[in-house]
Amino acid sequence: MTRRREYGVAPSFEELSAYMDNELDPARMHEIDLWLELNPRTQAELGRIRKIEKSLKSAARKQPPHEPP
Amino acid sequence: MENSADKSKVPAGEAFQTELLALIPALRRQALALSCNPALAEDLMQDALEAALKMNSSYAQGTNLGAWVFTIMRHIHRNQLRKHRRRRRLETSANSIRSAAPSPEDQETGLVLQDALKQVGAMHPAAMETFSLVVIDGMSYRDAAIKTAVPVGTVRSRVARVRRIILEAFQETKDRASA
Repeated sequence: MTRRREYGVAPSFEELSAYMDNELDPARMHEIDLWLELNPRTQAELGRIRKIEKSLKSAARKQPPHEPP
Repeated sequence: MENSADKSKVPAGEAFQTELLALIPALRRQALALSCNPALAEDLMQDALEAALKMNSSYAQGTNLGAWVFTIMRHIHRNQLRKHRRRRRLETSANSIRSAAPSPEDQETGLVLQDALKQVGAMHPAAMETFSLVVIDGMSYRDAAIKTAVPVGTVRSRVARVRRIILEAFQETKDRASA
């Protein structure tokens, strides 16, 4: 129960996505950190997305820039 | 005399529209020269006309209207090219992950990702562009919102939408493999 109070309302997918981008306020970031500790499956999903995005970013960097000079 | 009296009663907006309509054949040719594709040229011309109508108050009367609209068209075309390049860059990146993958599992990751991004590109091109700005270029939601001229909340939901599609594509593949 204490834990439940600490993380507040369960995050939506959109909120989790913003969490991945560090786009939430620090208090909510902390609440989601705690919530993820109790939800390892979602934590694993976020880990998977991070890994995919890291590969995507690395592959994109090897390509010429998209903005004309 | 009667004609000139009638003309003076025509509102400036209406005269502007008439002059603009007369430019359509020339604008169509210019749009085709820029885009090299009849369907894209038609869209480009429509977008340029729409923008010109919206911005008619900034047109200096008596100057070359054709040149003014063509400048607008070139800006629109350049923005469209940038957006297209960002989307293509993501798809090409997914392809290069697949071709450079050391294991069959990684190759499959690249393939699923490529399909998912193609789907996003076709159904949600604006979301794809926003995703590219935030995830690949590392822009903040605020900067991406300014760049794409949408509210921060829209950036947030677009990025989440693309992530959800990618995640669902991987989940479907996993489900198929375990069935």
